[in-house]
Amino acid sequence: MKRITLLTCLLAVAACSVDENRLTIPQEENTTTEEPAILTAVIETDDNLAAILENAATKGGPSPLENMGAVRYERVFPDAGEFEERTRKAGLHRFYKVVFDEGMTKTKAGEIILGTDGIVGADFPRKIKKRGAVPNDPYFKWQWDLYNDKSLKLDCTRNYSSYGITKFTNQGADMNLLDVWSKYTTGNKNVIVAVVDGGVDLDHPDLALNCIAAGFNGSKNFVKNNYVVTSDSHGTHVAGTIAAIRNNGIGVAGIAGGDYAKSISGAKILSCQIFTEDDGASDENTAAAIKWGADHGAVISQNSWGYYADADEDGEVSSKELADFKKQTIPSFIKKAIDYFIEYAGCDNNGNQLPNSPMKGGIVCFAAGNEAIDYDPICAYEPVLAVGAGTAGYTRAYYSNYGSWVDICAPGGDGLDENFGPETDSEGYSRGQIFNLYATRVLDDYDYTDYGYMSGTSMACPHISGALALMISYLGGPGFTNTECKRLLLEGADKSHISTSKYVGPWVDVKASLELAVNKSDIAPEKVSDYQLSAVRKTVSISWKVPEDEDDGAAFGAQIFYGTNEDAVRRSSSSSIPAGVAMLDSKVSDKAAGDIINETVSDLQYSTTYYFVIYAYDRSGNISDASEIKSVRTPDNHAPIVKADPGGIILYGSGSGKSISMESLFSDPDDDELSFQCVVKQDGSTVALNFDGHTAKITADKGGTAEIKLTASDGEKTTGISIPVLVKGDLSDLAETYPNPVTTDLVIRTEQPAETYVRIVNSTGKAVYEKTSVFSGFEPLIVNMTALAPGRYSVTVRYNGNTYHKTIVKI
Amino acid sequence: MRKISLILVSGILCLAASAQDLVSEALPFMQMDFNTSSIAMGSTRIPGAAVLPLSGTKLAAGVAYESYMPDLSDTRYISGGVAGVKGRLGASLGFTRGTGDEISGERFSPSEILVNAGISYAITPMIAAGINVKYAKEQLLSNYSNNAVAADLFVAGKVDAFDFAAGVSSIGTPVESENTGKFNLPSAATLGCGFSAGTGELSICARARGDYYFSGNLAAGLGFEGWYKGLVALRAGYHYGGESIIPDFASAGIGARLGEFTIDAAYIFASEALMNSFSVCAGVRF
Repeated sequence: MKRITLLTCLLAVAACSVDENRLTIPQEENTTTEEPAILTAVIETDDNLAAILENAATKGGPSPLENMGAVRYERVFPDAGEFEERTRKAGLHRFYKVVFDEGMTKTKAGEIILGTDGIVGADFPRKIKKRGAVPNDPYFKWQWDLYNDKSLKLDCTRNYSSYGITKFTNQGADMNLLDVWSKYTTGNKNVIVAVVDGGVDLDHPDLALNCIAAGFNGSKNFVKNNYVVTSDSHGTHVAGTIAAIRNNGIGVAGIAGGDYAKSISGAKILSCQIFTEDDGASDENTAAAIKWGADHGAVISQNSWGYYADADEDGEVSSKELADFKKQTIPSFIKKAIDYFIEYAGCDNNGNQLPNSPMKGGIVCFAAGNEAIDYDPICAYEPVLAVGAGTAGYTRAYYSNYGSWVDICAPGGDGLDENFGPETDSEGYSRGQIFNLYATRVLDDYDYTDYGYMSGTSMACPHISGALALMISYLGGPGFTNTECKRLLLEGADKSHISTSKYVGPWVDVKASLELAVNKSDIAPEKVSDYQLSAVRKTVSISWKVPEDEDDGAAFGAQIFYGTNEDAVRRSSSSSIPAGVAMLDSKVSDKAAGDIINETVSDLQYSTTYYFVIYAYDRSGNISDASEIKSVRTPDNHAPIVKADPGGIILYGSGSGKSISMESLFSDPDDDELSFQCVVKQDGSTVALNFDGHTAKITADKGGTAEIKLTASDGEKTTGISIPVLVKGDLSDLAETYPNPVTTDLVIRTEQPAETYVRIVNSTGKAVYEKTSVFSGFEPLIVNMTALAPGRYSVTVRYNGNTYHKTIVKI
Repeated sequence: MRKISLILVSGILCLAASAQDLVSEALPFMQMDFNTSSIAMGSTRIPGAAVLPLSGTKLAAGVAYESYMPDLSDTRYISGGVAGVKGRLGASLGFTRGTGDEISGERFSPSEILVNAGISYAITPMIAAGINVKYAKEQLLSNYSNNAVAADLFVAGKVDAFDFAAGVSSIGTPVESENTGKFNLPSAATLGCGFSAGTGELSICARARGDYYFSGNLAAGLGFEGWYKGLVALRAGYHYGGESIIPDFASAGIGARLGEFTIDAAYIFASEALMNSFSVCAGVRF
């Protein structure tokens, strides 16, 4: 099948061939683009070849690609570490970028690829462009796209009636943001937008606070494959539209830029650089850049770039160029990356929403294109959210691609005099464009030169990304999905303004989209009629069945009130929580009515009866009637136990020490967290104690004995043990007698417990003491010497077959 | 004389009674025997100077070295003494210094000093009495010592081949420990006797001794000595110490005499505490 496809491709004229196997081999004879000196291709392998290539890469074995004339090859989607599992699951590990020998032509390379077993698809890199325009004169207060007070034409100095413009800026075309900012949200730092574009000026003073720094887990330069993001005005303009710091007294306002004056952070920008400042690039780095966002917390992928039909770049799209262009489809590796982002953004390797992620799944936004044609290979891919550009007059921007595949329209600006020329700045540039950030040229000298106008679907697209960021900031949380978010965005969009001719989608209306979610329901869920309680230790588990909701299908969550006073719990509500009552907010997430939600309440008291009542609520905040009040009693507490009694501690010589881990000594049958104490109970001059709350370090000061008291408490009950400590002179002193000289009690210790014979004779040899018994270091023999006359005595200690003699003096 | 005896017996009984309160005696080395030939015969020599006027010796002097209890806590004693008899009077002077092992954990070796001076008088040709005054000191630590003055009082008699002696020894004031109270000296009442016989080239001597310590303990000794041509001697003896301050031991020794010079050696065996103790002595006797 591949070979048939190749033949077809070779016969095709001025086309990039595509078959059902996604083998894309351009015709070099008819291409109008300059072929690079070094040819590269992106291939998709089967699992077997992928394994061979990986093995060759790690162990240096032979590679089939070397036989193809490849001088170098590498994975398009590098090893993703913790996300490698899902990367493989998505099949992305099978895409390789292959660099051929100098002089290799596309035709020859195509034949080689088709003749190589294990390659199931291939694409030669195509050129892409930013979908913006040349930067214009800056003047940041003109952000009609965010808030259009219809005053724009009041500044007009030229007579524009001759242009036949009937719908102008006084129509108030904007994103309807003011109420959103004041009533709902200005953004949330938990929402990350991956800007796949030119490098964002991460140090721009009007943006830096909302940027994720470049680094191993942050922004990245995919052109150079390093972590040095170089500033680009296109990427910076796009990022500024989404999240320029709002309400900070300088520059412009980003759509989801937070509220600086109120210390509210906006959405975060993750720069995935695929362009340098120079326009034009190859698409080979774009797929990895899209995937990078999903693997680094982003839930929105912002893409203001794409292919272009104007192959000869003469500024006109001929019918032949358009026809050729329409034969192109989205490259498989980019399609895979988009699929991956949509499925895995905000999720773990199993596709489950991460605890801190505001949304399950991602949304990939693409600019529709600026060639005023009715096709785009990427935007035609249905899962992509395609964004067309509109003007300040609620019209399609003259350049915007159009068609039924365009999902939504947003302000993209229009700088042509014939449309909006009358409104110009001091240098004559139309203010009908989009004013936002430029990359700073001199970082310590930011002023108006760091802002400027641009227009294009490149500018429209970040308006949608910003709108999504705002919506997710407010609506996001457990259970909030990309599907729901996209639906709300599109359903809330205004369909009344944009002509269906050369359709660029409904006009974005953030407020309407949000209120679609917030106000969609006024019927409360049914009360929670089925729930169970069980107590283990200090934790109560609650299992409640999601009740139905007449207009929402199911409850969105439930407020679980609990406390020890039944009457107080009965009087609890979200607006009034009596003292002694706590509330747990339980989200339904993606469960349906009838499903069971499990929650736990921890750190309760032992041996206590707790009362519970549950109120279900919907997304609009409508609250159900109270559930039945139920109670559960927590079990009795058990005191901590000693896991392992260390017995005694023998230290040899001053400065020697031993550490005791309290966790290794104590445990709690109830698994309560324990707190520990450690004190020297006797003879603190013998040892020094250093205790950090978990480890006791005992250091010998001088010979003698001490006792260390160790206690563990679970907050209610305490268990303690005493550990005797013996500090001996040195290791060789296996039979120790002290003190010397002795006055009253003579202590005799041995190294190990054993039956021991002790005999004391005076200086003339008379036995004054004789005994055989078992004693040891921690249970010594104590001989009362009080009745013995002052003098010199000899002590004989015999145990374990050894005999030791000590000379002592009694005074 | 009778009165004197009553007083003496009364004093002994008082000391014995008071000793019952104490279980240990201070300065025990006061009762040690530093005479080499006596050690070889189970320490059967009668201490003190009483026997001097009856001994037939006019002047004697000697030095001795003794390693005491070397297996447990070796103490090295060096002794020296001189004794003389003039008419009915006899006198003696002695000095002993002992140095023990270093005490455990200290860089100090305890030492003991015993100085004694005795005088005796032959009441009749067969009976003599004497007194021996002793000063004893033990230096237990560099800054701690005990000392005491004591006396030995004995009466000795000799009839043909038999001799005897009786008296008390180490009578003195208790030693007081500032930490644990008072402790009596190892005072004792002693009774000893001997028998000597000779057949020209060979002569033998047997001695016996019994001690009653005022602490309530009994001790006894029995020793033999045989001379060949008055030149060399073999000695053996056994000392029963019981609970007294000198433990049981068996001993043996040799002696040699060349003119006025004598050399003696003694060795203790069969004793748990005193095993391998030995003593050597060189002397001169006129």
